Amino acid sequence: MTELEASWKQMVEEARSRARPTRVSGNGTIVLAARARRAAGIQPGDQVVSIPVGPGAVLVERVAGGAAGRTWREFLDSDDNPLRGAYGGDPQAYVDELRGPWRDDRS
Amino acid sequence: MARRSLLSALGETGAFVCDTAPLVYRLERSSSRSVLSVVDMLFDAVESGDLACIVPAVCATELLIRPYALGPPAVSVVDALLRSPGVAIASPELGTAHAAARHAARRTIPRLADAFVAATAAELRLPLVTGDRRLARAAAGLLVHDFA
Repeated sequence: MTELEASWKQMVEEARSRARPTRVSGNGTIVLAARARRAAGIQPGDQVVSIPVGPGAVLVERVAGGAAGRTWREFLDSDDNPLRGAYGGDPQAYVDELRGPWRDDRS
Repeated sequence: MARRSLLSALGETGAFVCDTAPLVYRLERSSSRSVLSVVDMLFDAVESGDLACIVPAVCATELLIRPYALGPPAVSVVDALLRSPGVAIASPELGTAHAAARHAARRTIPRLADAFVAATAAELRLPLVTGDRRLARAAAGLLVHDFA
């Protein structure tokens, strides 16, 4: 198991152990648990889609309104942005790390 | 003499192809204020509907790699940005593959991802905005630092 797989499995297990069931209403409405909503970065006013991913499992994914009434810049500058400095502080170095060395060895 | 802005350099095209680094500048907010200001001006124009931003699929992938290591909140922000109005993902077509292969074979753009990015811009006949001076030079792209 890779480190990434391990971290995902750990997150799922931790979430599962904390999750409390919520009942589906007659018209299909459910309440997203605040903890899950915060962890997924979904805010009031966001638009989401529901995608069935297996028996008894639905993926709720935000598709619009990530800033929830704010502009993208306001959201990204806020403490709600989980990506602040996440790429290492040097965007081109991040890209170079992924793409490898630039070898212009034309003769 | 006043510097020309990146928006004016884009002219009347109404759209641009975006390499990975400018999007990372926008998202992680850690670069110099002058660079951030250039990038924000660009993506604010996308958000307001004045410009369309075309992201090659390879750049979208690169943009998502670090978030997938961080977890769902980080993935969700990048996903929302890539799905937002004014942003579109460009999947490589056969013509793009030919153009990228020519760049790689001739070593004019030796790295495959760079070659795909440059080929996408050329195929769509749109300006390329990048954070890589070498790619900007090789593909006649616009380097964000030149406008900071």
